[in-house]
Amino acid sequence: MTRRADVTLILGLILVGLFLAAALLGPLLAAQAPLAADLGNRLAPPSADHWLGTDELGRDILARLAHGALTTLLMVVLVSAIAAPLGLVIGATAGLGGGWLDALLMRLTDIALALPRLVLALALAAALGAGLMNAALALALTAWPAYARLARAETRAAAGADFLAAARLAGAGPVRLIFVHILPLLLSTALVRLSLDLAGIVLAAAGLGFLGLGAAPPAPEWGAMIASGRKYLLDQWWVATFPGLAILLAGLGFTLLGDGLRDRLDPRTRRA
Amino acid sequence: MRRALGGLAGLILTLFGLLLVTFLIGQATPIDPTLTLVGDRANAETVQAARRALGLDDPLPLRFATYLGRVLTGDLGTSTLTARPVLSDLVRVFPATVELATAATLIGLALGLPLGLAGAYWHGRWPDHLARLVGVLGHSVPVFWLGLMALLLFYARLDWAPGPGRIAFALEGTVPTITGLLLVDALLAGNGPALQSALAQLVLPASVLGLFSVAQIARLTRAYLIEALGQDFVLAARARGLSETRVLLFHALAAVRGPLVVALALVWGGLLEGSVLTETVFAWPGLGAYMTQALMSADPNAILGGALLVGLVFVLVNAGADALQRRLDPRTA
Repeated sequence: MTRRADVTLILGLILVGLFLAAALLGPLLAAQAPLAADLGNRLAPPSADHWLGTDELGRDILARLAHGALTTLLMVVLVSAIAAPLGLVIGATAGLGGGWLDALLMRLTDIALALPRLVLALALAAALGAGLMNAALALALTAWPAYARLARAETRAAAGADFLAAARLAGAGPVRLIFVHILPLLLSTALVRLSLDLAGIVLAAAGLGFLGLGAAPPAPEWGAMIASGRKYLLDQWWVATFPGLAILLAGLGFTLLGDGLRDRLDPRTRRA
Repeated sequence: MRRALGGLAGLILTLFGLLLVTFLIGQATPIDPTLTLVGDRANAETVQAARRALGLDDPLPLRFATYLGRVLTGDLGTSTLTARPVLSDLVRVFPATVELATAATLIGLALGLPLGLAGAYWHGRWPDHLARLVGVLGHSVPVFWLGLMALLLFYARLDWAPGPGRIAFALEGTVPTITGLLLVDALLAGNGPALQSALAQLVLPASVLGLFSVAQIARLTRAYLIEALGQDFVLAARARGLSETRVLLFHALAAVRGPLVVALALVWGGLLEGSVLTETVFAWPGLGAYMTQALMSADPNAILGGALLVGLVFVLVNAGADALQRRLDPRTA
């Protein structure tokens, strides 16, 4: 059991490492500029000059993939940075406050959990207008409830602990209690949960990009690259195929990393 | 009884929340509805009058009440794209999505259940690894890309499957609409060629969408069964000398049928939502394609109406699954 969990974890780490390397170093190393159009060389098949071919404006697909990795990474970081803290603070407040505050916040969370995420994110992104920040906001506003649930359960479990009573006696107010004493407690569970969510964020972000709701063109974005390659699918297959493979590998990496981390950090959970 | 009433109150609250969310999203839309009414050359007084007539200057709670009243009477506004009431558009396109999601769920059940069974029975051996692999892939593949690749391979290269669309072009319009479910309508009309064409068109998109339900159903079946197989009643059944097939199917699987049925309902609800991207790729004339077109032409009423419909069905399926769970499993009552 342990051995297999480690294999999963290592595979996930390798793929995520590749993704991070592509996102952070790729734009520096790529020989071709991602936005440099070369119309004489449009839709060229993979070759020694352009390893993954060129798109409809003659731009190098590999270079665009590397820059697209950075876009995806940015998106993942933005969504996590909004959704997780928002959910954790809501959940911790509910758990610590108890009573009507708890009932109100958890009812809100339950309602939000019962709504379809992708469709609402789509409608929200459409309402806010295309753009990286808006897409991230739309995804984050539909992703926080899971964290609130988790934070509330953990906070309730710790609510009677002596260290909290001691902090209270020392004069800590509710804000200090939550941010200084409770949130650090939630960190490891929240991180495991987040790692399980990352693949979903990558896929949802690519989906929004495919529908034209992601980063504005001509900035390279994987989902949007597939959308524009769709017109040339039958004769120039590489334009749409390689961005999809990139999404698949990034998604695979995050899924394996999340599964591996969960099995490693929480031996109680059976692998499901 | 009290529990059922509590469930009903929760359902109503959730639906209220859904309406509040779609209302607020609608308020965030930068598209100014007065422009379509008076044009962009109207003078300030005309614009003011139009704003007042549309109730745009009312306070937010009042506007929400107006919105609530309109939605509850079935008025979702007019689509600027089709110039028809959004509700009648939704009624027209929704059956296609239901057909696709149902077919995908059936594929998921037909493949996912045996896969999950095998994975649980041969826990830690190759069928288990296969079940896990499918689960991981279902978690990592972008559905729209998989659809494009499937079209490229099975339609363009191998010519095994027909291209995008819901029925062959030549047969378009030959089936009278009764239920809106093309397979059912073709069957009712006794139209053999149309039925055959509609089935052939359905296979590829339903399989692509189905991969995700295969993954989910296999994962859940496997997890539930591994737990059930470790229980005493399975040991007791084996001790009585029952065959392994009997133990697996009639004891272990029967014990987890409650959660499985619930999972199936949730998978179906999730696929309704997942079909948005799949439909776009396969030019499947359902809710997803409708919403995508509305997206391209900045048609907020159509987008919000579609989101509201998916939300409504999703919430109802969730609530129904909960109720079913209580019925099938007395322990949760």
